[in-house]
Amino acid sequence: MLNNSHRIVEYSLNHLTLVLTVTGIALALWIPTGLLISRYERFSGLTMALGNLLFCIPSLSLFGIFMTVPHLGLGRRSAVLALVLYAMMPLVRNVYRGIKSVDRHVVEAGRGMGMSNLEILWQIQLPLAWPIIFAGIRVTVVLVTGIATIATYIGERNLGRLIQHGITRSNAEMIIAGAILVSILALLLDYLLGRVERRLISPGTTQVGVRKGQEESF
Amino acid sequence: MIKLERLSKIFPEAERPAVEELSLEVDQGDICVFVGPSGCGKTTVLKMINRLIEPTAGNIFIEEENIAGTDPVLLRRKIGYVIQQIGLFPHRTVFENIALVPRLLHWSHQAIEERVQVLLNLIGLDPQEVYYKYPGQLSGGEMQRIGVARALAADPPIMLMDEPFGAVDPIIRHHLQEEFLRIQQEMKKTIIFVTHDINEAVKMGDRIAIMNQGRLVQYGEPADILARPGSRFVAEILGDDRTMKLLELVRVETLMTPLDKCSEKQSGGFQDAELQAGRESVQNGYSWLETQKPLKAALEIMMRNNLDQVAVCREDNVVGILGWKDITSYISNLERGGRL
Repeated sequence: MLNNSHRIVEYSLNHLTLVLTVTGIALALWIPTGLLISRYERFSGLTMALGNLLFCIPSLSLFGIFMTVPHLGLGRRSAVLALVLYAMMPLVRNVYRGIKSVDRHVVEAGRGMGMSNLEILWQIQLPLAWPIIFAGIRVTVVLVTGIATIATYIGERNLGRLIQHGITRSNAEMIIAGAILVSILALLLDYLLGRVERRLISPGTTQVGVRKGQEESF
Repeated sequence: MIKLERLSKIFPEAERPAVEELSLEVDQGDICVFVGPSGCGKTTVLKMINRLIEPTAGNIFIEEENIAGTDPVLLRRKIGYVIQQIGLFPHRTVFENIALVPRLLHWSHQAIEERVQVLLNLIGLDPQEVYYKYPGQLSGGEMQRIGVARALAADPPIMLMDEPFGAVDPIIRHHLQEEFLRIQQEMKKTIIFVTHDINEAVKMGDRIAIMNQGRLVQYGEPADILARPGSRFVAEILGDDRTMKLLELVRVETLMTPLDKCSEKQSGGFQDAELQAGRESVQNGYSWLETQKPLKAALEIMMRNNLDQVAVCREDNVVGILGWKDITSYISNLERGGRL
């Protein structure tokens, strides 16, 4: 293990950068998509069906298919594209569900008092949908961290490679080491997101927050 | 002044118009209550005034200006809006909720702070106590009050209130109604108020608009409508006790005979025009009550003490006399079409 440590660091960093790249692109793509279909309801069914469909394709085959496409080929581009598509289902669905979960009377009150559509979105819908949207983001990050291991078969040098080599060499320790490192990475990212979430979500929207606020006020 | 002119709304795929050819005017500073069974179109009328719903035909004028030509977002910032479900923002503190419209209007922070303080005092909540609380920490009655304060925040000349006290229990509702009428006496807002409760309509309204199936069936002052319902439908809405409701509406001072116009025989008991006020008592065959009380209270005292008339007092001095006959002849006169 020890003489492999530089390799493990390399794999971990590769893994992390892949996950971060995918998460960045997926958020930029799928959060607006979720917002759009919550506004233009008639596209919601089709969009979410597409997300489900993509999610159902076995990851190994999706990586494989992209590998054969010119300009994608072996390596990061194919990996990123495939993982971004996987992220569509949890992200789009949770954004849509989150926005729809906002009490329509609150939205109506806002509109009735003269908030523009953009103000309603930023000041009412997004903050109130945050807990659900954020749950989707956390699930996505953990999911992508896991599936990213498969990308090792199309040339990504990440923690999946430990598992892959372990399998080909029947080396159980190596498989377990890889799995544990992937889990640690996933848990670490989830923990950090949890910290961010607590700062972003208003105490008024969670029962715990409300109760805590009450104690403080007495 | 708000003027509705042949206002109609037909929703797509609806069997009949939600609102049909409705015209009426609401004077500056009046509370106009729309009342009727559910689905009669009263809320639709209200939402057309702040353009949450666009009319199919007809016009709405606010201060002679046709609102169809205004920017709906800017229009709404000048109109207070209160709904039954309140719709407070759960993720914002009480302060932030009330500050909403002033912030949209870019008031200075200091002006907003001061305004919120004034409003919280006005609605009878302690600023210290509720300022940083979230709506989830308030009682139903407190939330309704905050909802009203939020609508009043930028001091709009017009308020739209859709069953604003509908979500609280009867005792709290009674308090909120009284409180709101007290505030309104100072504010003199022009208010469109929607309710399905005829008692609330009679109590709150300077004018009442009774609606059925999208049409305005009667529009007038509460006492007029109570005395002379224009149709069977209106009479049914008013209930079996519309005369009693009328008695609740009219103050004893409007009907009493002032002391100086009383005959010798009538005023015999008050030669010295003095009475031990401050407690309910019967002296020389009279009991008394204050000028501001409703006729119903006078009847109550007469019935309980088996009297034919009561003395009417202002600040411990007897100023007039009200007889049983005055009340009954007043009512029969009204029903025959006389003026108030």
